[in-house]
Amino acid sequence: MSVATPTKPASETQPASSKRRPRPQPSWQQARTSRFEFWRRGDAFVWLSAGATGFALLLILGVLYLIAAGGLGYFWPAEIVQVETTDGKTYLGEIWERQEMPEDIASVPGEHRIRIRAANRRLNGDGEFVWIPESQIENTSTPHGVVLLEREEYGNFIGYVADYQVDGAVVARDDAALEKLTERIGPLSDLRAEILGLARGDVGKINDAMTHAKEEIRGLESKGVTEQSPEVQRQRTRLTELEADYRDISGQIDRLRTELQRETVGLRTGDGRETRVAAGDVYRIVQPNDIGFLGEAKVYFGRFWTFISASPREANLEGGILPAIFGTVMMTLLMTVAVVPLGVIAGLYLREYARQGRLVRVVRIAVNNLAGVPSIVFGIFGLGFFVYFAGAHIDQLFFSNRLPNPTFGTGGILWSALTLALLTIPVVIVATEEGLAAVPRAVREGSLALGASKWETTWKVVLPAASPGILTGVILAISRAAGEVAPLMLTGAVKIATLLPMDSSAPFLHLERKFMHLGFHIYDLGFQSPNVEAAKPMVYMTTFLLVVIVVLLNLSAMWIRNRLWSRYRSSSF
Amino acid sequence: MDRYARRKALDIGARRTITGGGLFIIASILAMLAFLVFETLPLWRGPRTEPQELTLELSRPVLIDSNEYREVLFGVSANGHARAWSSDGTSLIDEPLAALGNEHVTVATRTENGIWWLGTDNASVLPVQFDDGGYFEGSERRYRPSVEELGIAHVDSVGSIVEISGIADDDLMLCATLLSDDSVRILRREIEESLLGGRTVTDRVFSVPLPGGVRPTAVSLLGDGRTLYVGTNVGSLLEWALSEDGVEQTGNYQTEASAPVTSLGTLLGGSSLVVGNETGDLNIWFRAPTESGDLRLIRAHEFENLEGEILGSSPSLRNRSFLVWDATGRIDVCFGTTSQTRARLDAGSEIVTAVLSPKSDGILAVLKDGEIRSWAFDDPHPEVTMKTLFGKTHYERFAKPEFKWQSTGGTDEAEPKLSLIPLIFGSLKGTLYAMLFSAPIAILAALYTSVFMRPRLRAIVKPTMELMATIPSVVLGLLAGLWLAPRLQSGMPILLMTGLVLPALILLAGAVHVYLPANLRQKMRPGTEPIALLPILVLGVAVMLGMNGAFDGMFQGGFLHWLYEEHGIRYDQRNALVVGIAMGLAVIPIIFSVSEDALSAVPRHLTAGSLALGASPWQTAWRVILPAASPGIFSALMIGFGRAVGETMIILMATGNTPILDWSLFNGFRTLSANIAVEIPEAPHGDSLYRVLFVSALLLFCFTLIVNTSAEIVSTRLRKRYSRF
Repeated sequence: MSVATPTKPASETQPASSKRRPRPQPSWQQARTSRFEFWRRGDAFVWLSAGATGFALLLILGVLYLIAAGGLGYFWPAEIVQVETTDGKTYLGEIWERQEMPEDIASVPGEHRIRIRAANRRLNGDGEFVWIPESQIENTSTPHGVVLLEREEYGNFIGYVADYQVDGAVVARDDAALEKLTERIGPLSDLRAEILGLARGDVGKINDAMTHAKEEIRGLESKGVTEQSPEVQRQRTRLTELEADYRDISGQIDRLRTELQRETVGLRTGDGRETRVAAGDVYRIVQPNDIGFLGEAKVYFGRFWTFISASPREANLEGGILPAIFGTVMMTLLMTVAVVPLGVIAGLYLREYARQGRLVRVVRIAVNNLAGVPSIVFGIFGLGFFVYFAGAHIDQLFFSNRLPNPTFGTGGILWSALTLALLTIPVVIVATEEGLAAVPRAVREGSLALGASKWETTWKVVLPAASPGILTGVILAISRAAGEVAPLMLTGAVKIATLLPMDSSAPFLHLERKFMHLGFHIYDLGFQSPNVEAAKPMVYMTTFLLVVIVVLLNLSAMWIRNRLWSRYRSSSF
Repeated sequence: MDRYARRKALDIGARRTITGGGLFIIASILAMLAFLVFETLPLWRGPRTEPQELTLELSRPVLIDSNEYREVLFGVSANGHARAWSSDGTSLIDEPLAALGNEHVTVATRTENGIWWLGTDNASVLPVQFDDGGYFEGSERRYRPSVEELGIAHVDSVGSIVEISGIADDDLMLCATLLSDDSVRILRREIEESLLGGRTVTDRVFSVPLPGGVRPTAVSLLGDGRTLYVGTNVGSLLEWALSEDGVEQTGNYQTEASAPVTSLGTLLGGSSLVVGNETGDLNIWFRAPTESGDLRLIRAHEFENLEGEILGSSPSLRNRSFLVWDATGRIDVCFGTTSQTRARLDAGSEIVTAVLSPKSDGILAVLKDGEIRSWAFDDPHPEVTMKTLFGKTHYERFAKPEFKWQSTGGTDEAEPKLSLIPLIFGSLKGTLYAMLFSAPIAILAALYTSVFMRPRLRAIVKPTMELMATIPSVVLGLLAGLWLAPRLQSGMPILLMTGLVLPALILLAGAVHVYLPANLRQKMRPGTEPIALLPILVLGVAVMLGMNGAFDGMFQGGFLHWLYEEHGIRYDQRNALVVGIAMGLAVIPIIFSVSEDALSAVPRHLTAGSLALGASPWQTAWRVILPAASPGIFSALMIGFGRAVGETMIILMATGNTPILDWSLFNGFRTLSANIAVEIPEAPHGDSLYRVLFVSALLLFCFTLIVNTSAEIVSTRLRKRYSRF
């Protein structure tokens, strides 16, 4: 019996199984004779156990609700309120939460306070959030015309647009300025994308080529080739050319950056302080108090799209989680590529080719038990074996030019994928075995009787029949891998990976690179972030996404299993 | 080749590939265990020593040392010549130490920063520093060694120095000397660097007033430069506190033996005192707090006796190892923390001085006849023994031996404390609370779902629970740490009440249901009680939460304050209770699912028989079905247990990860699994800590293997048992 409960025989988890073995309607309540026997007959305990079931369901629903509510709500543009306090201060921001004051600072017992997300991180110092005791609130209103700007640095800005300048000259004020900004945001973001493309793509390629040339030179030197030899000279010339290219491109980037900084927006906060921001640094303009439901929905989906399609900014607090999604998917795919053939071959061997005896039984128990071994144990094994042992040897053999900088001798996506493959291989083996065992004997015998060899029977008859079972196992393995974090922390998941493990520079697939992962992202943002409160929206949203992925994977596994079951039932002949 | 032969070849090929591949895959999975074991093996390997050929000519050497890579050797002869050789014996420098003039060097001692204090026959002391002047020529290391004299000073006008001990920091140098006229004198050198780069050096000499009746035989300064110990001819240790302007005697301790103390030295970190005496007894003493809170010197470690009078000791600059040598020519390499004698060398004749190389990978010794001997020494993991991992160890500054995990300190000199007991304890504590929370709920729910629930409802509830088992633990950890922990802190008393109130509420609902008129009662279909109870439970929790403030007010200053004031229980926000609930949530679906399967597998005729004999449904469920399925439920509990023991992310996120031994529900703990995740980034490959983490991984592996196998065996028995019917 494995810990991963879904791997047990299909019939046990099969909802339809009750049809197979009809269970008479429980009659315990009808049989009740006397009200006074509530205790003696134990009906009270039935209620208690019903309560336990209800409680367990409540817990589960509660968890799902928390994740959904926590994650889904944050992107909806909240109303911006203006709070005026008795001491004459004005605060503008979203109401974040309301709670009872801690006893030691409450002026009246039972007093409540509200927490406002006033944003404006640089202007307000680090205090993005403000607590205001309710007793000090004089007036609350939701003013029109308030804007929330999502900007490149320092998080959001909440306040008013005062003017719009180009090269230092005011071209528009107030509402006109806001309009101008709204209109310019599109072209400016194209410009920003262009800069990013140059910086990531072209500069990246030049860097790669330069590193390569330097490695070549080092390699040649270590072989004893002198500085004057033609090979070294050729690489040197290449380096000089690349440096010139680099200067070209960085000049181009600088020009574009200046272009981007030409247009600026003057901003005014709720209490009248002023600041400026480059129009090119504004990502999105929201007027939460003026746009109505449809407008809010538009902002919501816009934000959601940014979340799943953009790279993180500002220590992962802003922007999106595309690299984490990409890393998770890619690592899982790599793992699948590794685990499927290995697991299927091992399962085939155990069920079809090995002589069924005591030894195979022991091996089967061992493999099953492996599924119950804590994932961190796989993690430390992956670190010790893949990273420090295999990786170090690969480096010595193939990447000695780069030493002492490790290439494969450090955590990377390949090692993470292999570690998880080891972790999930019992799931696939067990599922394959079960799938094979469920293929009726008559089917095999029929094939053999028609003159097919054992391999032909296996390949053309048994494996296709068992394939839904195997697929179920694979999906369960994927879902386990997608949610596993502990082993990845040791073998290559990182907080921020500037380079994706797949890009346009040769050899396109960079298996040695570190990667970002949804699960690790949750851990890192929620517990290692300098500003946990501000990180909450991202954390909950990432959690929601991860849970959705894992649940969908499992549902599809269940669905396939159900189909598999009905198929076998109908194949009785 | 005809078609038949090709098919046959293919068949054989496939058979071989699958058999070979299958065996290989299974073997490599099992090889994982072998690898884990393999990584821990070096921990148990003893030290290796190997004599090395070394011919250096030096007349009457008083000190010998080497550079970090053991490629340059340094020495000073009695007549004050400083020498350096390369490892093949080529002389690199040979120059007289100018400050010494005609004085002869009598004793020398090395400080923790590698500076040597020399003492002369004319009561002067001279700190010297050797520098190998290493540089790279291509990929080869070359040396231009030099020796720097750091300023001579006189501690007395006349007299020969017989024992010396010293420290040398950037701003303070201290040297304690024992002179041939039995006086003890201290040189205090304060160095002030002005902002302009000038240096002012002030030397002061203090005479240590000795009590009458005893003769000083050894001296040693502790590393903090504030305490001086003097060993006497009656076996006592005298303690002085040193300050900027004098000395003050603060203690007088008698060792067990009355034999004269012949050697005093310190260990790395400068707080342990290595005490050797004339009969060969070797002990480590250090200062530890007594019950009243003040520090007293206590004897902490006792080592194997040496054969003759102990002449001296010298600490490693790497760890708590030290060398100690006696008059018969024996050198012991001991490890302070574990009271172990790691290795024993025989030099053949009396030893003048001996030293461990800076990386503790070599031993150099000077014999009485002037010969210099060298050994290669390899002892990578002296701090790890079965006893340090699983037993109590007496660490520096502790009053008694303790279980302690503290792998790294703020400084290099910190003593690693590697007891796995607090971690094993943490694993068990977390698991226990999680099981206490989850087992009753999961088993009762499984019983209800299997026996009483309507099949159509069951077809929804069971997959839902199973889906829950697949929710990643990082998600549960996040909710536990960020959402639950702060709320529990404010809602603590109500939560404790909920455990009583909710069952009462459920019973009340049941009782009310019994008294409902029959037509109303029948509206609720039997087997759907949990759904009917859901709103009641939600309402119950909501009402309780609403009452929280009032309830909290019943305690003086709030519940948590009251807990601390009245019972001295400290409340950590991330504690065992949070983990119990979160990890309980992770194991409820597992226990539920496996026990539900076992309960549903109980043959119908047992139930039918029991009901036919007049037992009520609950009596049947409790006395017939549950016992019949008990092996399956045991196996469910075991599997849940195994999962909880190895859980990492929830623990990492929902406890403070403090390795303490305390059963309290309200403080944190650290488990074996979380410890691996926390420590491995700090553990260099091949280091002791790295290997100890592999030991803990191996423990987890074996533990879950045992638990899962026992579950497997029990459930196989169960299947056999039913096959009888």
